[in-house]
Amino acid sequence: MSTSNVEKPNFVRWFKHKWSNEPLFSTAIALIIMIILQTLVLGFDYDSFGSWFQSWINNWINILRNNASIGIIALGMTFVIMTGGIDLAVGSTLVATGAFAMILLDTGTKGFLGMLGMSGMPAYIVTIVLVLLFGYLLGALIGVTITKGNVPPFIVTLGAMLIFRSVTQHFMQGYNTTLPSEFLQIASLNIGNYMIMPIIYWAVIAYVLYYMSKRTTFGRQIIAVGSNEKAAKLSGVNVDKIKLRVYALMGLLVSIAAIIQVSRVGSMDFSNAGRGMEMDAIAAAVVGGTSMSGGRGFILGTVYGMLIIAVMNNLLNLFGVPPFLREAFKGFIVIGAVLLQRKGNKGNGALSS
Amino acid sequence: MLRVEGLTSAPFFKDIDFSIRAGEIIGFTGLLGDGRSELFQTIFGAEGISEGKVFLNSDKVTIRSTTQAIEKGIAYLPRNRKENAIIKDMNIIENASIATWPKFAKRGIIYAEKHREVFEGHRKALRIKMGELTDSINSLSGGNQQKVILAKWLAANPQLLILDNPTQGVDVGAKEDIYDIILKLADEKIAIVVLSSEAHEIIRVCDRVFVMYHGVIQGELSGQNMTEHQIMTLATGGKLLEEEEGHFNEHIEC
Repeated sequence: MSTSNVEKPNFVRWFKHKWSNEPLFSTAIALIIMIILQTLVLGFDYDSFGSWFQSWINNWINILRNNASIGIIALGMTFVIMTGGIDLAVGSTLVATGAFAMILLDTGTKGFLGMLGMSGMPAYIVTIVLVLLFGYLLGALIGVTITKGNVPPFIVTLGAMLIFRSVTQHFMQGYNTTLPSEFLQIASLNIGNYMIMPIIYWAVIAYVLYYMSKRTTFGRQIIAVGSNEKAAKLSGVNVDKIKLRVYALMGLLVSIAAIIQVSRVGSMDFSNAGRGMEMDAIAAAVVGGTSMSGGRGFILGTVYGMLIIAVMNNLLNLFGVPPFLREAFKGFIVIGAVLLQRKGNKGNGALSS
Repeated sequence: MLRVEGLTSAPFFKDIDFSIRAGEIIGFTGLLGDGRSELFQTIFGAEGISEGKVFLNSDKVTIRSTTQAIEKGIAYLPRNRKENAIIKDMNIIENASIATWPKFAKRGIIYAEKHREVFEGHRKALRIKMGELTDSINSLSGGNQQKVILAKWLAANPQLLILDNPTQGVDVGAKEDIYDIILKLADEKIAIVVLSSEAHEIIRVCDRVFVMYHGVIQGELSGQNMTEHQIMTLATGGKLLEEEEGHFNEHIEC
């Protein structure tokens, strides 16, 4: 019964409704605009549609692959921020777990597993398991200090940031590692001529964490803890356990990112790798609508946020903006996103249909 | 059902002895800072360590966390709803079901249908006026918010229900609804403790009342002796008059 006369106002109303009620609507719109812009800038100056599409896809695979590690870390950071905390130690944990992987796998004289006479597939599996465990333990250590020691997360993770990197640098100085080339396949394996393994890891982890945040007791209790810790506790939520598990999960995700980094590059610069990573992860979460005071956050939003920042970097690159100015754009995006999100929020999650 | 012996947690309360049977409604009252909230938060496992013994159905129990308390069938509706009970970033149904997520969850996944079904029953019984289950908890009036929190605890199927200032910031109509539901729950053999600073409320719903003063139980009143005057006398640290005390003992015997 709708005529063309009322259709347009209906769309405007629908848009306004979505804009003010759906937390991720404006973020998604921003991302779509970015992608359209980037497509336009990339140009259509190609022989055929096929070759245009090919280069468009290649560009995207590059963007996604380059941001996979930090994207995975940003997902964990979202959980941490949702509890009302923060983790400044992710960059240093990355270096520590990366170094640990190298010590285990080095094909030179000092490789730990090599000394035990272990090589090939068993060695890779043992390495992965141990590195993930190590990351989980480092995260849990941070979590225990925060909950049992009752020290603010900012302080604990600031300390951990300094300790992890400094200790790693000390033990790894003058240590030249070479990794077995099969191990590098973890990140560099080609699937149909595309090097997309890191993207697959990111997507799978994003899906798992998304599901966790929406449907599981753990995920929803994170929101409760961040929103009102006292009320959560008085509703039977074991607040300390939730926080501990969130920081441990963060450590685990960082160690996954470390394996991806190490296997992509084959080495790691212990003094510079992961520096500033915590800020990029926080920026992605914030652009995606996660509130720094806790209680509100979106895994999907963080993926959008990460992509917005990544596409923007790509755009600045295509436009030829001087490198020193690029960070400023990131800054504007972060502040602008928060200004855009100043609006009411309806509940979301497991019990919303 | 619940028996407490010599429970002490300095500086909030000391040497607390009392017991409650299934289906009984007892009151705890006193002035501000009498320690009754801390006492029951301790029994609920939300506060730090304490000395003394707590018996549930004649078994000695040590409750270290609120999670444990809920598993043992204890529910605690806190005072200051906004600070202690409402989780503002969650919707109505989440606020009404958070305490029972672990109970109904399957492999850590929230069993949403079950929670909706359970809440729907309580929503009718408590006469909660609301829009959608997924609306923000802030969209409700104070009285309806309190009823949602009450529904959360009813979902846990408690054998002991502790209500701390249950009618705080609640409109008159909802107050009556809450009194009705308290009396009905007692009929269903739930032991109920009502903490309140309003004497008339205690007199209205409770079988017995313990009056606290500076962290100790100053006296116990029941039946005819539960008057605002007697409660105020004890709450301000006074003693019961001789003849009233005699009368009071007599009452206890019958």
